[in-house]
Amino acid sequence: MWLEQITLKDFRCFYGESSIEFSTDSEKNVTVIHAENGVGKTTLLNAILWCFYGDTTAKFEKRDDLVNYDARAEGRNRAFVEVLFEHNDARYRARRYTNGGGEERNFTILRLTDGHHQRLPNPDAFINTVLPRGMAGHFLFDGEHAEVFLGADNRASIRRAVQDILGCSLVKTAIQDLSETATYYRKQMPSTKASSSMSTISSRIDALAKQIEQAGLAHEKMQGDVELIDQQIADIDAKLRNSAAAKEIQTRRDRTTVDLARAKKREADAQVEVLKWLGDSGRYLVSTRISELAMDFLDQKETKGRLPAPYNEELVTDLLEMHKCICERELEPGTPSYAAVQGLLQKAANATLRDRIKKVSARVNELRRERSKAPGRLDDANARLASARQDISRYEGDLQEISEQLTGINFDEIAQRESKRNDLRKQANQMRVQIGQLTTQIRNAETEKGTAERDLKKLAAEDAGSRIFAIRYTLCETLKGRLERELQEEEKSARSVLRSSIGKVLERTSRKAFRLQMTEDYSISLVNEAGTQLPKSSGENQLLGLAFTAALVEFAKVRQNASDYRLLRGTIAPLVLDSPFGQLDEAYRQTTAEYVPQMAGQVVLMISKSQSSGGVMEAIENRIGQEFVLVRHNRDSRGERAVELRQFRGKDVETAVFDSKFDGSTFVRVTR
Amino acid sequence: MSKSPSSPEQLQNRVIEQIIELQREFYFENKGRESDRRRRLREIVDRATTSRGDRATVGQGDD
Repeated sequence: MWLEQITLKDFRCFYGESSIEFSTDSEKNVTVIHAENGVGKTTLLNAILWCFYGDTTAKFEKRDDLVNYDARAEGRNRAFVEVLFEHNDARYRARRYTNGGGEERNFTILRLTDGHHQRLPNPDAFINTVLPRGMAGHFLFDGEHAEVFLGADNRASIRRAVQDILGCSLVKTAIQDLSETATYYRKQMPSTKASSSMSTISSRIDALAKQIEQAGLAHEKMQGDVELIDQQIADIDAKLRNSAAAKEIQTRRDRTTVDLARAKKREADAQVEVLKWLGDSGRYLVSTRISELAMDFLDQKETKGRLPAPYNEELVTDLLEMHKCICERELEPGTPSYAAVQGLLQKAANATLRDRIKKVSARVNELRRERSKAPGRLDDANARLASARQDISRYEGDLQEISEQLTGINFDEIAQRESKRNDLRKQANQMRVQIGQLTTQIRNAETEKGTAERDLKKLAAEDAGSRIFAIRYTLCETLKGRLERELQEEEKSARSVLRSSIGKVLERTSRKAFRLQMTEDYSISLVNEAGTQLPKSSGENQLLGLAFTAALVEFAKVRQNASDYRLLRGTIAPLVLDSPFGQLDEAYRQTTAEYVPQMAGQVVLMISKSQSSGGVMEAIENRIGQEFVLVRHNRDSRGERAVELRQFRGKDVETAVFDSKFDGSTFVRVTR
Repeated sequence: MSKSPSSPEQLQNRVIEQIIELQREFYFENKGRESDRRRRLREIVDRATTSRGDRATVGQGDD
């Protein structure tokens, strides 16, 4: 089957008629649909399922509420989905309406040939031959739950998936029918001489069968509940992963706030240092000119021999008082010699003056010395101030950005989720214990039932009236056992094919050297060369989920011409991948994206903006045949909301439009 | 008319073929009526064990 086109009319979030064409080019076999969360990816996926089978996935909320609200408000009460597809060189148009239109049939398939169309008499049967309902779900990959699907408690789901693709539906219903029919024959055995014992044994078999059935149902329900809980935990984990990011941002905010406070302290310290420097050393700079002049003056006087003065005032006075010169000549007042020595007093310096000059000289020298050191200290202080201010500016910018990132995050809600997650884990663990008890109970009852059945057959064989029923009963049991064994054999070989197929995918996409192990009870794990089981990261789980899906699709293709009459044939169908790269890091994304076009003949890839990053689009660029964007329309006005713009092939597309005439989604084709 | 099976295994094969054919008919025709399907399955088993039915259980060795 190759999908050509889908048209949705008033179906859920698609108001009016919306249509897209899928790429049918075998080289450019990928149709990309860009869509953010809540825009209609899941609706589109379910629209295909609903059109073909009148059914949707279990996750699809309000499954019976299919008509678009705005359309209904305008008086339109029916929605439809139409899918054009090609199968075995013929083209078909499948269309399903919601109930209530008064038409003869809600589901029709027309075979289109040369402008004519022929209505198929049994569209349900036909679509089941093209793509059996049991297989269809496996062509739709739900990335958000891939890791849960391959979890330890989902062995039953994995087995169902393998059986579905193996086309076991006929054998499985045959086994159930034979089991019921065997019981019917056992109860037909008439009352005879041996009837008393036979009746007792038969009643015991009934009771045991009932016990087994009830325990089996409880087991299955509990297993389903555990799977559901694990899915809820995975959902919470996904939200908590975002919350974890929020918490990380919050931690970063705390850290940045501390850093900012430290930077501010450094700024204040540096400012004090600058002021202190000004107090301590400012005078050195201010006195530069004065000290230079003073030193020049002192130097000049020294040069001229005046400073320090050549004569001591006390010595000259003593000579004048002694009337005798230092050369022993008499100094009589009034003589020219006395007047000459007395004239020396004008140039002579006393002790106080000499001391002052010495101090002035020392101080001026200190000023000169300190002035030479001053710029270095100031430069250091200024450098520290500038660095602190730069850090403050950076931290303030970071805090602003962090604040924007944290807007709208409710940390109480995160705490509630964590608490809910812990509760769910406890609940799941308790259930696992109960599942173990039920398994033992079933095993014991089956052993006892087997013994009772052998006793009954022995008695019935000895009783003529019961013999024919015993034979029929035994035949049913024998055929049932044989079909079960054959089914197990088929599954065994299917597991082997799938294992090898998954291994090849992992070899291409994974960076670790591990191999896949799938046990008889469908437990899936990754092991190293030594056979040791390795823990799987979320990304590896998702990768494994994707590889498993790829292997199922490949297996279905291989089985399209299978000749075993007991099994339904495989099929070729488009693979729809919803958010397949969510948990993968960038390196995995790119290698996985490179592999996506090879996963099926036709691939529909639905991805959000964040998922299309990291080289994804570049990896599939040459394989894209069609590309669309799902745009959300809102009646509300934009208000404070920012414009959501994305660029595709150089053109801007607004992915959320406000003040629209309706609430819903539309497709915008990306012109290539 | 098809040739009668000569061994218990052949008989079983033929009955299984008929049962699977029945399942296929109901699966694709989407009749979904379990009681009808099981009534027709009993008819198949009855036919297989009426004339030479004893042979169906020969050599099964399951008890």
